[in-house]
Amino acid sequence: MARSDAAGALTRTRDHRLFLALDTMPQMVWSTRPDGHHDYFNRRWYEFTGVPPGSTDGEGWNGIFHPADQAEAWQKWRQSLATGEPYEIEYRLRHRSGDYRWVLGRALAVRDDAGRIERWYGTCTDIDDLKRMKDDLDVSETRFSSLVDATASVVWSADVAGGLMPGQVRWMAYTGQAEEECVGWGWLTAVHPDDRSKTAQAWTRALKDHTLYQVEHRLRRHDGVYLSMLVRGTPIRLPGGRVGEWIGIHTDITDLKAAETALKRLNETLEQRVESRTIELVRARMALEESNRTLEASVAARTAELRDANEEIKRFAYIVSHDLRSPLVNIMGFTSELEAARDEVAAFYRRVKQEAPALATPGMDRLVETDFDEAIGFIRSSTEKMDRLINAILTLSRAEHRVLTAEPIEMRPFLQGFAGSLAHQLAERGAVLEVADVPDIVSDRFALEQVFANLLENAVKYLRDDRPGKVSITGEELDGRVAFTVRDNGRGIDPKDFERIFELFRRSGVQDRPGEGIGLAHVRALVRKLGGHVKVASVPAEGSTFTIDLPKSYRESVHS
Amino acid sequence: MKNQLPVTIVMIEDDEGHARLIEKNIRRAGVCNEIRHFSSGTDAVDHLFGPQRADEGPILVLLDLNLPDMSGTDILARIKADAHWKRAPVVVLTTTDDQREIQRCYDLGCNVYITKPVVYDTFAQAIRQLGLFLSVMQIPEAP
Repeated sequence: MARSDAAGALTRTRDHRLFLALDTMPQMVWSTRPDGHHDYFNRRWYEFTGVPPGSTDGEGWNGIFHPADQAEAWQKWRQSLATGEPYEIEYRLRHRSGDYRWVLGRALAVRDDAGRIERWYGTCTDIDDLKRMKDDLDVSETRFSSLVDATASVVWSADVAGGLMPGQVRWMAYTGQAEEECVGWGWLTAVHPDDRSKTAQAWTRALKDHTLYQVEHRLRRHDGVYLSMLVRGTPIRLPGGRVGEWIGIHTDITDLKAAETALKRLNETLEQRVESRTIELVRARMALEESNRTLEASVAARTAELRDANEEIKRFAYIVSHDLRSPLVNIMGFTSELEAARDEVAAFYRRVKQEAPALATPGMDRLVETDFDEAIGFIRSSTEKMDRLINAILTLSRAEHRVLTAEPIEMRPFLQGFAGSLAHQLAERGAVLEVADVPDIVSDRFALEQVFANLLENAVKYLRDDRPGKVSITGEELDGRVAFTVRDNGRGIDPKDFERIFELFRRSGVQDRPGEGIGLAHVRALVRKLGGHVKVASVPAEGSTFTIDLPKSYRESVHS
Repeated sequence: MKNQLPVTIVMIEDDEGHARLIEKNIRRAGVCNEIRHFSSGTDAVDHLFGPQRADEGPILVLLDLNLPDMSGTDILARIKADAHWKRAPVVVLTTTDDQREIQRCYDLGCNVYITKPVVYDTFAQAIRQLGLFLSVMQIPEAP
């Protein structure tokens, strides 16, 4: 035991010196007896944990471990004591500040010559900063890979020689290339053959100059479809500025490209359409201008024609009045001369008959007494009729060329005036003329007189003998125009003659009334001149209604 | 007496029939004056304004307005503007009863305007009355 004590003292002395040395270490150090009983912690330990000296001896150390790590630490320590194997564990140790810090705990058994365990020596290394850094790194990596996963892009990393580094999961998944296919410059075989050259050039230049690598190329997807990619790569510099590796990204721009192409095509189409439409418009405008010019010319020509025609008509009226009348004067004149001659011949024949009856024949009698008269009678009546017709044409023609003068006309008194001028004819037929309260108008009085005189004369002329005649005039104003109606209960007009009656020298129905077929032609010409129109409605045997639609106020400029 | 110089009737009428009828009726009215008939304006103008006009005694002009070669109103205007003939009575005898035409003729200085009526009796009567009128009217002599 003495030897043992001596040895023990020696040991203690040796240990004491050792412990003194250990106190100077920046690392936490501890030691236990072979049975695991902690009997030594160096100064650093106490500084770190802030616990009173000796308070962690024995099994007290376990108490300042993080509660979540205590069980595992105890179990591992027990295992090492049982087996003698080194002890190693990461756990959270309570710092004097109250925070738990990650610590790497290690222990080794020191054995004697016989191999028996003399003591355990252990260390605690503060790895908290390291650990946190690693955690941060893990988070960062997770974030990065999540980002990569979340994007439709292919992220890759390459070495300074331009070869893909092993483990390019995204690349392999996208292209379907196996690891051995894509490493080194193998990745280039996934690029469209036509784009390989420009890609290689751009990549080589970037590698050489350490500048941003940027290129567009078509990359073959695992299913063999080439998709347009925007490629960007950037060098990762190590501390000291040397380029360690490259990291890059392929972004699918197929849709963008397609949209761009579609947009470009659309623009081109649009431009084309705008251009062709512009050409069309220009052509249309030119055509329009041309047609305008033509129109102006043709209007001018037509106006000149009409002016000529108008002059022609005026001359015609003059010619009719003179040149047609001249022969009539002769026909009538010489007919009278003939008549006078006949009288003399007749007187002479009667004397001959008395003095030499044998010379007389019945034929000669008839010739002298009746044939001459008959012939002369026909010549005379026809000539007189022709004279009336010529006069009518002349009247019409003159009315056409009369200059109209607009004046306000009180229509009711104006129309009632016709009852006076037609009094004789009305009385003859036992007819009445009724004039309603009609609107006043501004128009040419003389022309209106002609119009209504003709209409009313007609109305009276063609009344039926078998019932009391009635002629009525009404008027209605609408939108700056006034429609006058002249209604009778006369014999009426066959609808097939509605247009014909307005033509010159045309008449309708039984020709048992005097007239030349002039009146309504005259009416229509005058009404047109006044800026209106006339129409007829009639039921045969019941009566006729003539409607004259006139401007409320005649403007000379319109029809002069 | 200058007044006694026979008046020559100058008839400017392109229609031979009219001329004949006029002449017949003038004669029927008992007028025996010489009637010089020109059937064109040119002939009448040549006669009235020609070199021999100084020999011409007093005249009365019966003028038709519608002549084939010129307008009767032109002849009327020339007569009335002429120093020698301006006082000679001009009777316009025409088929036209156009009011403007009539007015124009009177403005130009025509003395009588007669429309040739188609009804012959009226025409004949008018001419005969004109004949009677001629037999009593004083015609100024040309200066």
